[in-house]
Amino acid sequence: MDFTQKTILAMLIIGGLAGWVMHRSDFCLTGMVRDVFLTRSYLMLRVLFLYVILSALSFEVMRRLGVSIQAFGPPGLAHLLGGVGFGLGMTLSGNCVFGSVYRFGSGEVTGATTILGLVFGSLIFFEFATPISGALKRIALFKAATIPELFEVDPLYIILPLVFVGALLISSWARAGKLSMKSFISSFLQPWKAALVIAFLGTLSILTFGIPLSISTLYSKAATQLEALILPQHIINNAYFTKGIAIELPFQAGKITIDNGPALDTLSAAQGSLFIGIFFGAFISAKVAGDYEINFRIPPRHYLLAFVGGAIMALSARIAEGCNVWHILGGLPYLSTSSLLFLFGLFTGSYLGSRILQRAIITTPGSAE
Amino acid sequence: MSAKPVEFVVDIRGQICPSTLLTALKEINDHRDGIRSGEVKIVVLTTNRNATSTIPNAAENMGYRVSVERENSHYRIEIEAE
Repeated sequence: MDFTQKTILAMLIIGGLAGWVMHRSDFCLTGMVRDVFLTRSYLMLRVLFLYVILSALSFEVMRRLGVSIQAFGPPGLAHLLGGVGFGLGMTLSGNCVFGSVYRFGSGEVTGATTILGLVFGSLIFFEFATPISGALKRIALFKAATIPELFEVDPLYIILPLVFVGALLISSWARAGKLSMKSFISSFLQPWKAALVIAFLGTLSILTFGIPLSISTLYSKAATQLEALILPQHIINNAYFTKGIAIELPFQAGKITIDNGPALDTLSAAQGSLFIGIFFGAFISAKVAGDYEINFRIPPRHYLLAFVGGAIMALSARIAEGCNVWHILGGLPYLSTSSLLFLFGLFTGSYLGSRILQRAIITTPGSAE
Repeated sequence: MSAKPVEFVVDIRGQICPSTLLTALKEINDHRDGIRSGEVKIVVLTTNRNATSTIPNAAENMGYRVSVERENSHYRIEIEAE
């Protein structure tokens, strides 16, 4: 088996397990941020903190063992503004790039609608936003790509105190029952357990492919292939599509290829496999749990919100050089400064989206029987 | 013997994620007097797994009795007076 075949197999397995646990726990990265504003719920933020502490430790151990990890770039205005846009988009759609897939797998039509929006948003980006995005990316805020670089210290001096304080906090939350929610259905998986599994899967993703869990470039690739079919001249005339990079991975004995054009590369093969894995993991989980149900009869504004939110997310992810999964599940444990900036933007955008949502969705009439 | 409460059914199956909880809370608040007097029972139909925890927990905190059952392939959450 060559490197690409091994990656495809590993990502199918990782995706399948991730899809299962995300469906069982409804592990919603959108809700983690949004619910702080909508319902003043901090449970999922605590769960995220648990994930970050565990993954920061595992990323550092891997780094010290010489495992090749795709680095994050220095922070710029693009990460902040992209974060704002992404937070707005994910809050409006109710899904993020992972949530849309596992919910689509479990029968939610709004998940599928968000995916269409993500592909459409990528098309809009190619047609209209590449010059703006390029200009934003040139506005760097500072050079340090990580917090240890910012303070010019060995990462261990940041990671060890972080893990120590984090462990104290997490154990106090666990004792106070603040890491769990009372469950009313037997098949529900507590989100903190899902966080442990996803942290393990994120580590496996790096060990096999050198890149943390991510998926948004797949939507970009789908949009490029669509554009190559319907507007091939636009592909030829746009310099953006001629760009690409290859990253050598000495530890994993392979090479990642990333091509902005319509040609298939190893990144899209990996992300495509992850997508398929998550979809079927969630599908099987929903079938086994007995709650797979498709409902098309929902208010039209919900389709609109899911689609428009998806499009805004795709535009924003291209500008911010990554989606929420990339920056939160990959960048935060890496102590990436660009991901911290993205997170700040994400909260801002989610706050704006929450204000819009409260007016837009609470209109479903009930019926007396 | 008290009369059986009128069921007020809120069918939000398939809707975008936060709609379920927000809509349920609004209906609970709008029918607060009816629920407390035992005249009204709120029934929420949802496909959202997260809502099977968030709605009952919120309703219990408000002092209501809550039950959750799987009905076919969705969930039926009943909220009524203690």
